[in-house]
Amino acid sequence: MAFWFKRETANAAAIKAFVVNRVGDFGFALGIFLIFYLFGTVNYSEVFASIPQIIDKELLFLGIQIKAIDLICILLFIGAMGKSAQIFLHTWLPDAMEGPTPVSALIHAATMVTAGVFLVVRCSPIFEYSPVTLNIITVVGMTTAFFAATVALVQNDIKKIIAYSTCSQLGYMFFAAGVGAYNVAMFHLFTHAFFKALLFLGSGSIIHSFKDEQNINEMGAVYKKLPYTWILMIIGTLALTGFPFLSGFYSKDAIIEFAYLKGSTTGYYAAGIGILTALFTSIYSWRLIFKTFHGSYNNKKIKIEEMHESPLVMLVPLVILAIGAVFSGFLFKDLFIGHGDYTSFWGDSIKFLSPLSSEHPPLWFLLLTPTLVMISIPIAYYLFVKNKELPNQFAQLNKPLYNFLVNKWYFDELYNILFIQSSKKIGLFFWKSIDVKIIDKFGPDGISSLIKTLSIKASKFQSGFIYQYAFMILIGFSALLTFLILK
Amino acid sequence: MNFPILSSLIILPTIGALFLMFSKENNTTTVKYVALFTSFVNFLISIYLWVLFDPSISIFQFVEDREWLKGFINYKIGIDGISILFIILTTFITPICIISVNNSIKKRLRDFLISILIMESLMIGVFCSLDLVIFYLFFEAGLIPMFLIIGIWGGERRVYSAFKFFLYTLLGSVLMLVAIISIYWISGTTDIVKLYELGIDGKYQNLLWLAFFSSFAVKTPMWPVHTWLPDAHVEAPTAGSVLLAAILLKMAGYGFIRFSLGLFPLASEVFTPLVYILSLIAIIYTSLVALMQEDMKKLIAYSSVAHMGFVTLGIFTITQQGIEGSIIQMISHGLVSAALFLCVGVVYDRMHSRLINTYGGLVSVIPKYSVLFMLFTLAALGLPGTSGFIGEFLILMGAFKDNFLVAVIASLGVIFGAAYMLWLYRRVVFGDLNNKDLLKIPDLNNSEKFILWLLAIPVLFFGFYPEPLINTIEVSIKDLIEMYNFNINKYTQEVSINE
Repeated sequence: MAFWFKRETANAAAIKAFVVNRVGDFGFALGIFLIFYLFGTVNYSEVFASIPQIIDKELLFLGIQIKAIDLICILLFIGAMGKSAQIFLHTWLPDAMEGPTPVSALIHAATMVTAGVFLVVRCSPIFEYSPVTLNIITVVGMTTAFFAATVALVQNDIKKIIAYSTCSQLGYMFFAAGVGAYNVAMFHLFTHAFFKALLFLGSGSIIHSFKDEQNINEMGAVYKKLPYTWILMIIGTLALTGFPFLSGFYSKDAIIEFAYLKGSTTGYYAAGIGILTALFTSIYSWRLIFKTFHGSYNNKKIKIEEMHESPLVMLVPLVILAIGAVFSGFLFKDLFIGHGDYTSFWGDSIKFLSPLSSEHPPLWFLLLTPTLVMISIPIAYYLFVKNKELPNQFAQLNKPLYNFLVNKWYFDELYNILFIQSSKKIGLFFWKSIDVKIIDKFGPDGISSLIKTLSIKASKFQSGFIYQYAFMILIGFSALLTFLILK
Repeated sequence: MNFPILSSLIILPTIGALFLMFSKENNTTTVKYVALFTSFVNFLISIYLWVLFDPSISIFQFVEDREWLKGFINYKIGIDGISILFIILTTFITPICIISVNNSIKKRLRDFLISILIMESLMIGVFCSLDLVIFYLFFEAGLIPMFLIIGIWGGERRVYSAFKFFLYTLLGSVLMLVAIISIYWISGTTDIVKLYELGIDGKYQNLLWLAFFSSFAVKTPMWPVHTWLPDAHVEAPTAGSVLLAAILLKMAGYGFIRFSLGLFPLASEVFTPLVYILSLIAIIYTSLVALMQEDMKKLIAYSSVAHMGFVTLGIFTITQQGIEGSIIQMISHGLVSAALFLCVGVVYDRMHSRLINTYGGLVSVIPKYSVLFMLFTLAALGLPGTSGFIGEFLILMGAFKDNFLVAVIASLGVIFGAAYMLWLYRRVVFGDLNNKDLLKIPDLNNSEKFILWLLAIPVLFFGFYPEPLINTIEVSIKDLIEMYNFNINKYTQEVSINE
């Protein structure tokens, strides 16, 4: 991330990512320690085999009586939250876009950030025994999905929009795992890798064409100039939004369906939030497309005649990813989440305490999401190409809401005050006030100056004048005499 | 008794120092090569010692026992799995220090090297003494060369720092001397092996433990007696800082394991909460202080206090993982902090400033330096794949076994560790190059490259494969813990019988 090391923001983003992930690791490490404490081993198969023996075990942790299994799962999940940028620990991911775009595509969309989801799925034999944590995961997942989508609606940096979109999609994966549909979470992880890497590399191609411009308000009307990038970005967008029969359609809709089929309150909530978020996803994704490729040309630095398509070396990877984005859902859906036969693929690697529901949700429910997704295309077209004043007016009318979203729900500001500034202040206080003014002043410096003063005083007695010594002897002698007489 | 290999390890650097005393002062090349040769031979001997060492038994090996003060104190030395690694660390770091003086020491090079060699003798002596009086002699004598190194070759406030260092450490040690004398009157011997067998009467243990603690706590250093360390580091020349951070601080950690746990198990049990609290304060407090430092050396010095906080925490968990972690952390910190001080030394030699804001954007001027500095930065913050991670992880694991709350708070220190180290690196190496003077500075020269890579190799090697370290210390620690628990049980049984 600090690849462009001269850029202050890139350096800040690098440290932020490391430290925020350290916070996640803090929970993760404690989870590992707890597992070691309880089982004496951290080997997957040994731990998984002995989980059923400790289901009812309770621990006193920091004064709270809690079931050991719940504590393990919560701590492990904190690690997953850090790595997969879930709400509260998400702040690093959008900033991580300071890194080179291929890095964003590989690390911050397709692979590394999904490690948290992988962790939860991998440890499904533990998580399955902790319904409390699964509920927490569902809530955190759906909150993140919703939160990130709302923020993405108003961002202007092309990579930030996609980054928040990643955050949001990771939320989907988590709530899939939270409702017990681990295989669906993995499926979405798999399809997401294709279309999100496609979108990132596509945005890289756009940024390249605009000579490092990332603000979508400085773009527009270039779909004829960048025809391949345009088509590929649209494929990516369709796949992301879950347009029927593209990869996202199979995985994302399956998540919403399984949340619904879960039947519990959190399940229904998750499904509802999932549908709403899908609508938002569609709107912000099409906003990105329309603002970059359509409407009027807004860049003042480069003339539109100078715009040209990216070289083949940038386009070929996009094509390969586009193939995945289109077909991966259709081709692999039976393998990953096919009704009834998914177990043959996953074997024992995922533990389902109770088998996934094999029912179908009602037809209206199945049609709801795709319909919303399709309707949102003309809406987005109207809002961001035809009648551009309308979103602006809306933002003017609802200034507090707009600012709240533009400033990403003020998480950065809050953390800055709560953690960064206060750490610095406390550090300064410890150093200047306690180390210097108390420990040193009363410790070594104090003692040495005290000894110095005392010895200066003592040396005054050695004045060298006989009469002073004689006087001292006289006083001493009379004091002693008085003492003896009175005794 | 075979060839006295330990005694020769102790005496050889002193012989080298004697040679130097009689050599011409202005012939710096010869002087340097004599010193380097001596310390290198010593390193080879210590490696040979490691080869000969049998890690499967926990009794002391290569023991030499000679009468010194007739019928009173014996010159008794020997090693077990706990001490050998520190000896190798010492013999490994010393030649590196000697190579590093190339650029930094301009005056009285010969005397400087004599100090370093004598220091080496004394430090090896500390790690293999098996008699309390002998230990005390080596432990305290080590102060003198260090005092001279800071006081003569140091920076502007060298005299203040040297005295602060000397008085602080001496004050603690005087109490230890009193304790050693009383142990002699209580048990009739100062032989550690015999004392291990006899045990020390429970009613004296608390006071004796506190006396030893006062000395070790200052040397570690633990909060709140840590303020000498930043001053000493800031003023010491590079090689002095390296020795101080890499080895001198480790003597206290070693002392805690060998004496506090070994001789006073009952008292250790009583005072564990005290050590925990001070260690946690050290970890959190000094990490926050390190965050705000403007002087690179001070920052690393404060980070040393935090790292040593982990060490003391690990030792007093009295678990296999905790103590193993502490020893690995000490070895790792020895390598990493040495390297970091050398890294600061490299830019200090070129710019004569330790202030962070002098620098910035170094990566475009001196890329090779930046790579190595990054490696050690990451090792200092305990990135997996470096030795720093292994130590910290094991310590926290051990702490968790003993007390959840302590482990949770200590783990927070890991977050701060990342913050202050990365921020330091960012401000020094990344960013725009604003200071035009930096444009002229050359990248690492051959000797700097050589010593930094020499330190980088074990940091990475033990990060990926800590097995050789763990194999060496495992049995000795296991035995120590068994002995500890045995003594505790024996005492509690005695108490219940008496009641």
